Amino acid sequence: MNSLINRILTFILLVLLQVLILNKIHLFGYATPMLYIFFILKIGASEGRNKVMLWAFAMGLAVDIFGNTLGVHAAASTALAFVRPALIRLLYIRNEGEPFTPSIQSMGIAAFRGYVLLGIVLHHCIVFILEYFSFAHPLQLALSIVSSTILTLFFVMAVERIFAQRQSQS
Amino acid sequence: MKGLLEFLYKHIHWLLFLLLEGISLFLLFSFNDYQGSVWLSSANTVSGGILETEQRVTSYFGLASENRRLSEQNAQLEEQVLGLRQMLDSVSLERLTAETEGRWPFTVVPANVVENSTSKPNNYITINKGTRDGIGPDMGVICSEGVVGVTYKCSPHYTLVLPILNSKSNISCKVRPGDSFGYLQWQGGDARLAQLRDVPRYAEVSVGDTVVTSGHSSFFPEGIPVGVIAAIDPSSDNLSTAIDVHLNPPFARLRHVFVIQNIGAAERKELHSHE
Repeated sequence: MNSLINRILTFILLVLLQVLILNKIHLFGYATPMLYIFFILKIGASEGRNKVMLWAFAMGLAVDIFGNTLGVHAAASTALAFVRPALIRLLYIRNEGEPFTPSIQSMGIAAFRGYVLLGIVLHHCIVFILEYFSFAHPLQLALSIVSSTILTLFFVMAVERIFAQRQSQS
Repeated sequence: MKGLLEFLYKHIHWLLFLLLEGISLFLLFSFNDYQGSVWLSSANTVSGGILETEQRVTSYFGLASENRRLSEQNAQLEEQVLGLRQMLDSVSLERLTAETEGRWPFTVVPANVVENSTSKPNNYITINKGTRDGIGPDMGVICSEGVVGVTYKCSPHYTLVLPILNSKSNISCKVRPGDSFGYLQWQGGDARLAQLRDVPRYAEVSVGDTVVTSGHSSFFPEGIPVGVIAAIDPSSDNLSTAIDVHLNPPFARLRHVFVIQNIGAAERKELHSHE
């Protein structure tokens, strides 16, 4: 129960942070950080995939409604939640059944960074391809994907480090 | 049968995945078709309210420049009033009212910008007036510098505006001097540049000419400024020229806009419905 309330609060906090502040960042005209997927990346690996997909869909839809990009982030977030178990399996060997949450501490920094990067690349490709919905401007499309990926990776790793430090202190 | 059910249960995440992606794509492609989808946009009550609160807070940071802009505009209007008053002295009032009656079938509703983007391939603007303030879809939106766009979807308190900076926007314009007509469209990229299309090749236009609304559509009165011609290239079909227009309105820092209600349009519609 407590963890559910916690998750709902994180959900609301990340959506508001995304739509009120981060959506207004356009570094070099192209790069927008999408920190809200931190929520999807950090759900425990033992949680059912269906449940995670529904959470991700709701998160994407909330971001879409505020940003008038209906369907774009919902599709990308659902896809991210769908491939997440495969990404974890690819980068980290763990004992089945043992509780596990992706983090720097549990996976090591290299594996965690790889997991986050692959997830972000997949998510951002879907977002920008659906948003442009044509390959008429391939350069703009590629620039948006690459620059936003770098920025989102930076934000996710920074927030993860803050969390990790707080946990090791307490 | 049991085997099938087991198979389905084992692969239910595939079904859910396809279902959710299907819903997402359906929403993506049907957004334009239904007026009701305004509830899934930033113009709904909850998101509009949150964004308006944020706008109220952040608007304090720009007060100094906003004040300066308003007083400049005030001075210009004052100048116009003086000029018009002088003209009025030389004409009798009775004749003037008789001449101008019904000439200006537009009223103007002021609104604040709640949410705005300029860097996406398709941008929208949300303003804090809706159907309760008499606003409906397909009304012109301007700011003191010129044309912003056309209202698109309305909820009771908020309206989604389709600005020039959206690939679906298409505004009938003409070039002054010369009165050559064309359509203003935006191809993405720079938020200060749009293209004027379908201007015939023989039209005499030159860099620096002003572009204004044509008055052909019922959204805008004639002669509202849009921008200034920045460059002219012959287009590939050799029948018309593509003209780059430097847009007047500062889209990136838009705060106050005006919605133009065309009373004449409603009257026309009513007349048609009585037939």
